[in-house]
Amino acid sequence: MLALVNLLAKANLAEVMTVVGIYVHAWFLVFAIGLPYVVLALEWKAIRNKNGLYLSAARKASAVWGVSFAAGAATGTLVEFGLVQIWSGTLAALGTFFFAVMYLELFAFMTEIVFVVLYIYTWERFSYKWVHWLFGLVVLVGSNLSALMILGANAFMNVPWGTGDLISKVLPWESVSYGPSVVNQTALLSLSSAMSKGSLALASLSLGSSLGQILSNPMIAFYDPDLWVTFLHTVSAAIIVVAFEASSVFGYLFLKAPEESKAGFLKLFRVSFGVGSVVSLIQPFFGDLAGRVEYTYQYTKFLAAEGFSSNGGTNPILGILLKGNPSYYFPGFNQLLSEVKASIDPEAALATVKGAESVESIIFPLYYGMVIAGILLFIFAVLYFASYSGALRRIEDKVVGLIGIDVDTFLVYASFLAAALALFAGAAGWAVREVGRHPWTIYGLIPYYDVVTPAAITPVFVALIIALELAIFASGTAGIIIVLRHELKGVLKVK
Amino acid sequence: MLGITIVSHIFLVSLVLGLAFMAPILEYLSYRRKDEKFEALAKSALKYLAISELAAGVWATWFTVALAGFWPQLTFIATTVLFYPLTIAITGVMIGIPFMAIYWYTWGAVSRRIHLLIGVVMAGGALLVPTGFNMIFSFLDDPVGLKRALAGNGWAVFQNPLYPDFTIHRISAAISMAAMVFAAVYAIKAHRDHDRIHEWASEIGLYIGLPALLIASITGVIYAFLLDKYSPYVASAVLGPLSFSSVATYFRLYPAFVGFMVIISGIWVSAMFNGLHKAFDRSKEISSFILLAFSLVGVPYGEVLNDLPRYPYMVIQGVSGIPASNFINHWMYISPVFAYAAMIIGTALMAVFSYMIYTVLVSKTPGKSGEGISSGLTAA
Repeated sequence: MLALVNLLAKANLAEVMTVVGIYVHAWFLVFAIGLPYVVLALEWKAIRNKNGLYLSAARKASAVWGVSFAAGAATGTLVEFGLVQIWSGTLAALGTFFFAVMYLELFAFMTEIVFVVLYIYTWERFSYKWVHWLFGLVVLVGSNLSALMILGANAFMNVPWGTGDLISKVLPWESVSYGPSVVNQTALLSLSSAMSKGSLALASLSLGSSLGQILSNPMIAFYDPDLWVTFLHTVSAAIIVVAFEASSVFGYLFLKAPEESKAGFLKLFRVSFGVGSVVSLIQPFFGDLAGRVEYTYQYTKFLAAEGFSSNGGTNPILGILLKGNPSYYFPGFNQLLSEVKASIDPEAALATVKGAESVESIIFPLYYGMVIAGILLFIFAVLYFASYSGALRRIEDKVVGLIGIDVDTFLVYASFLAAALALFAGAAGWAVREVGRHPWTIYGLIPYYDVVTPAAITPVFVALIIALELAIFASGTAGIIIVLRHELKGVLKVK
Repeated sequence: MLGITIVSHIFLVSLVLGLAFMAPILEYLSYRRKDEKFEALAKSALKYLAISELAAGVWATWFTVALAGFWPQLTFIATTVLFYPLTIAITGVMIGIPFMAIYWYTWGAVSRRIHLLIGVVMAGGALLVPTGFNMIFSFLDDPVGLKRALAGNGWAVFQNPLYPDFTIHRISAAISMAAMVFAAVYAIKAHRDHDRIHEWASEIGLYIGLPALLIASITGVIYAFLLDKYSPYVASAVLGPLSFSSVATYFRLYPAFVGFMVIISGIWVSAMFNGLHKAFDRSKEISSFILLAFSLVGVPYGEVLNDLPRYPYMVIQGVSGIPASNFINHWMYISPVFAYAAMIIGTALMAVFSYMIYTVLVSKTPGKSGEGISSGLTAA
C-alpha cells in the first residue's frame, strides 16, 4: 500500500511537467501542421492570379516555419524522452503496440524535414512555379502523416484496439469488442500484473523472455477507429488555430496600415480567414465522430465530459444523436459501480469509475467550453461566407453598421477572438481527452502510476524542467514574433 | 541497424558540436575586429551547422525508435540508470536546436551583442548534449553504479572512471573534426579562387582545430590506459598486443586500430603542413584534401572502434559481459524487413537529402560563399 502511495505521489509530480511539456510542444506543433495549409493557399492564389502580394506573404509566412519547426523538433525530443524516460514503463507498449506507428513516423518525419528545407530555400528558383508549390504539398502530407502516426500511439492509449474482449473483462460496462484479438491476453495481463508494483519490473530480463509473444499483429494500431477520427479532429483543430492566428496578424496589419495599403492586407486576411472558416464548418462533423467513439469505447469519460450526475440521466440531444431516442436514459457512475464486482480486477474497475467521477468538475466545463468555442467559430465562418453574397453582405453591413463598422472590419475584430477561441478549444479538447482517461495510461490495462520511472523525481527536478519548458516556450515564441516582425516589414510594397 | 544509426549520428553530431562552437567564435571575432569578413565566415559555419543538425536530428530519432522498438528493456534500464545524464543531454537538445534557429533567423534582426549571446547559448546547449550522452558509452564499457541507480541513486553513475576523460576526448575530437573540415574546405577554395577571405577561414579553422586535436590526442591515449584497467575485454579487442590485458575476444581489431592511428597521424601531418606552409598552392591543396578526408573519416572510424569490440556483448563487465541477445524484444516478432527497410530507405532518403541540400544551399546559393543560407534567409 505504501509503495502504491509513493508511486502515486511520484507520478502526480511527474505529470505536472509532462502536461506543461506537451502543451509547449503542441504550441509549436500546430504551426507545423496548420501553417502549410495557409501558406499553400496563399501561394496557390499567387500562382493562379500571378499576384506578387500573395507570393510575398506566402514566402514571408513560410519563414515562421523555420523557428516553429526547430522548436517543435526540440520539444518533440522532450516529449519523446518524457515518454521513454519519465514514463519509462511505456517502453513495454513502444516495443509492441506503438512500434509500427513510431517506426513509420520516422519516414514521415524525414520527408517533412527534407521538403521543409527545400520549400523554404527554393522560392522563385523554378520557372514552373507549381514545382515549388508541390514541395510545400509534400511538407503538408509529411506533417499530416507524422501527426497520424503519433496519434496512432495516443489512440491506442484511449481505445486499445486489438485486445478483443479483454477490456470488457476489466471494465464490465464497456461491453463492446475492441477489435479482433491479436494479443496474448494471459501474457498481457501478466505484464500488467508485474508492473503493478512499479515499472522497475521491466529491468528484469527474465520478464522479457518468460512472457513470450504479447502481440501478433504490429499493424493493429492503424485499424483503431479512434485513430482516424482523432486525426481528422486534431488536424482540423490545428488548421483552425493557425489560420485564425494568421488572420489576426493580417487583420492587425490591416487596422494599422495607411488607407492605401488596407486593400492588400484585407486580401491576405480573407485568404487565411477563409481557410479557417472552411475547416470550422467541417469540424463539428469530426467532433461528432469523436464523441461517438468516446461514447462507445470510453463510457466513463463520456459521462464526465457530458456532466451527468452520479445516477445518470437523460439528454435529448445526445439521446437523439446516439440512440435516436430523446428520452434515452444514460446510466450514471452509480450504475457502473454496481458492475465493478463483475470485473476480473475489481480494484481497477473501481478506480476507473472514481477517477472519471473525480475529474468531472474539471473536464465538464472544459468540454462545453470547447463546444461553445466551436459554435462561435462556426458562426464566424458562416458570416464570412455570407459576406461573399451581395444580398447577405448588405444585411450584414446593416447589422454591424449599428456599431459603426462594416462587415470586413467586423471580421477582422472577430479574427482576434477566433484565434483565442481556437487556441482554447484545442487546449481544452486535449485536456478532456487526457484527463478524462485517468487513471489509465492505456485504458483498462496500465495505469499511469505503474509506468512512471523508478528514478527519483523530486520537486526541485520538476521545477527545473518546467522552468526549462517555459524558457523554450518563451524563446521559441519570441523567435517567431521577431521573425514575423522582420519578415512582414514591407509586405505590401510588392505590387 | 543500430550500428549504422549510431555511427551516422555520431559523425553528424560531431560536426554539429564543432560548428556550434565555431559560429559564435567567428562572429565574436567579427565584432571585436570590426571586420565583416569574419561575419561571413560565421554565417558559412552556420550554414553547414544547420544542414548537419537536420540530418543528425533524423538519425537521433531513428536511434531512439530503434532502441525502444528492438531493445525495449535495454532502453528501460538505460533511461532508469542513466536518468540524470540523459536529462542533461535532453536539456542540451532543447536549448541547442531552438537557439540555432533563433540564431539563424535573428541575424540582422537584433543587436549584435544579443545575437552573439544567442550564439553562446546555442553552443552551451550543444555542449550539454555530449556531456550527457557520452555516459551511455562509458556505462556500456564499465557499468558503474548500476545497482545503486536501480535502487534510486541516479548520481552513482557519475563515478564512472572512464566518463570524464572519454567526454573530453569526444568533445575535443568533435571540435577538431569540424574545425579541420572547415580549414580544409576553405584552403581548397583559397587555392582555386585566391580569395583572401577563404585563406583567413582556413587559418582560423586551424587555430581552433589544432589545440582541439592536441587535447583529443592526449585524452585518447589516457583513454586507452583507462580502458585497459576498467574494461579489459574492450581494450584487448582494440589494442591487441599493446594491451596489458590478455582476454579472448570475439573481434581482434588491432589492425583496424593501426589504421586509426594512421588516420590520426594523417590529420596531424596535413594540419601542421597547412599551418606552416603559408602559400595556397598545389601542395597545400593536396594536403587539404588529405586533411578533409581524414578528418571526415576519423570520428566515424573511431566510433566503430569504440562500439564493435563489445560484440557479442551489449554491456561489458570486465573480461566478459551481458550478451546483446538478452536484451532483444521478446514481446513481438519484428520482421527483419523492418530493419532492412529502415536502413535502405533511411540511407536513401539521407542521400537524397544531402544531395538536394548541397545543390540548393551550397552550389546554387546566389552570391559569394559565406553569404549562403543567411542571404537566402534575409531574402525570405
